[in-house]
Order: sequence, then structure tokens, then C-alpha cells
Amino acid sequence: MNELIVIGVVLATLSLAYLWIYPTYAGRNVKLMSYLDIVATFIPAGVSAILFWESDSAFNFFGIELNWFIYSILAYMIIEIPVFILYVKARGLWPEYKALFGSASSTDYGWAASSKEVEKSLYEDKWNGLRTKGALRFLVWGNTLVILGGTVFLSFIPDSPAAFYLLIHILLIFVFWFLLRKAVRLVADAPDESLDERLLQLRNTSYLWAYRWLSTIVFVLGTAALGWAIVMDYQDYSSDGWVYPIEITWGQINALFWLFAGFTFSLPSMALANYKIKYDLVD
Amino acid sequence: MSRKPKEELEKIGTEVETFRENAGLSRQQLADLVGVHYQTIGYIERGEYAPSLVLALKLGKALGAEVEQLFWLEENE
Repeated sequence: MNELIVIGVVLATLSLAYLWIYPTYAGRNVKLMSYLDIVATFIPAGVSAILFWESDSAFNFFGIELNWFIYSILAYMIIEIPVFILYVKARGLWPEYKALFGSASSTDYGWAASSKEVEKSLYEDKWNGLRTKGALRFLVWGNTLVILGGTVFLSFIPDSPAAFYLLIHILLIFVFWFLLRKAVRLVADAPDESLDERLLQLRNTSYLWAYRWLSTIVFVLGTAALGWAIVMDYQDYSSDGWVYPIEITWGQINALFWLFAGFTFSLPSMALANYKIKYDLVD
Repeated sequence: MSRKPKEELEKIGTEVETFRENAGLSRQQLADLVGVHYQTIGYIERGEYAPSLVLALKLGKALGAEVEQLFWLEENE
């Protein structure tokens, strides 16, 4: 019965998406359609969360028992595939998809900006308020504080309010990421073909800096985990010295995930903003 | 041989701005002629960015000047 509820929600979401949202708002923009599809994939999971969060209901997936989250995602993906193929075929969107995923340049990965977006951004003045030295400093420090502060905060709160604070944390991460990208005119996430030689040099340097920062974060966290294991080993005499059972809450696992995700998304733009502050290259 | 840090790199002297103004071109027009962003022309004119050889040659062609007339190395004090 629970399975039918989820399938009903999946069918309703797919009908809304493919009969109204995609044709009306995405049209032939397959990149936008892909983003909208990611959001749509999580709608059944969101509804399932409301209905089944506290229950231990098992969902039968061809003889395998799954929880509500995995079942909702899998059900959506499996039912969507034929609908997607029919839609793309009927509207003749394969060339656009091939252009997006098949012959995309090496820099055109998930969160890269498209050439069109970058060209538009290089000549707009709407976000110039974000491009002063003070604003760039605020964005770099604000983003760092949001990610690190949110990580610490989520690590120490109980499970029940964690979901609510987590949403605020994720929202803030995306707001800062969006503003940082605007502040550096998308240059840090731009494909080669939309940059000239000076901008390419800037983008490449910002990636070097971003990698150094990211490796420092990973090294510090890895060292902390190693130190923690050594301390535990010393304190727990019953331990055999090789196994470290960790109790981790929903808030903590999310805190860790968004710590890495937040920095992975935003570090290139942060590094470029910092480079511009350091060498006085503000627009 | 080690490279100097960015802060100590040689300064580039340039006459791009004079040649551009004499040619009656805006930064945007010159940028379009040589295929760069208009801000890059600003950085080159202020001597804050040393263009590649290819870009320097394109600038020379667009402005009707020899590369040596457009750029030179400033003497270190």
C-alpha cells in the first residue's frame, strides 16, 4: 500500500513536470530542464519524508526491502526513464542533449557556467555592488563562517530540530555561492572558450589556490580523525585497536557532507575573490 | 633559476593607450578587434598585465604599430 502512495506521488510529479513545467519554463533549454529534473527527483522523497519519517515502514522493491528515501528516489528514476525518452524524442531535443553532455568541453562539468552565462556576466553591471574590495571580503569571510559555523552548530544539536536548521544552512551555502559567483563574474567556473588569456590565467590561478585550500581542509580533518582514533585507542582498554565504532547523528553526517560540498562548490570563486583583493584587481 | 614572486615581476611600459586614442578606438572596439574582454585592454594599458606574444602581435596589427613601439621592459631601480 505504501508503495502505491509513493508511485502515485511519482506519477503526479512526472505529470506536472513533463506536461506543464518543462514545456512551459525549460522549452529547448536542456540544461535548465536537467536542473529542474534534479529538484523534481526529490519531490517524491520530500512527500515520503512527511508521511514516513518516523515510521519504520519497509518498501518492497522487486523482493528487496528498502526504506522510504531510497524507494522514492528509485521509483522516480525508473518510472521517469521511458517518459524522458519519449519526451526528448517527441520534441527533437537529442541534439541539445548531445551538445550538453556528449561534446561538452572538459571544463563543462555539473556546476560550471555555460559560455552564454559567462559572456552575459562579463558585461553586466547589475552586481557591481558585490565587486568592491569590502564586498568581496565580506563574501569570502561570510561564506567561510557560514560553512564552518553551520558545521559546528549542526554537529551539536539533537536530531529533531536538525532538519530545520539544516535547510537554513543549505540555503545560506547556496546564497553565498550564488553571490560569490556573481561577484567574480562566473570566471572561476567558466569554460575555456568564453575567457580571454588574462581571464584564463586568473581562473587557473584561482583553481590552484582553491586546491591548496581544499587540501589543507582535508588534511586537517584527516589528521583530526587520526588523532581521535589514537586517543580512543588509549582510553578504551576493551578495544582491539583496529575497530572504531562511531555513533553519528543525522545532523552530524549532514554537517560533514555540507562542509565538503559547500567548500567544493565555492572555493574556486572564493579563491578568485581573494586573489582580486590581494592584487587589487577589483572591477 | 627561480622565478620572481608576482609582486617583484618586471614592469611593462606601454603606449597602447596613446596608439588606441590616436586610432580613434574605444577600449571595447579594440577588445573586439583582438578578441579579448575590454577590461583586459585596461589592464594592458596600465601595464598591469603583460599580454602573450600572440596578443601583442594582434594589438600591433590592430593599431598599426610595431610590438616594440607598444611595449618595453621598464628598467628596475
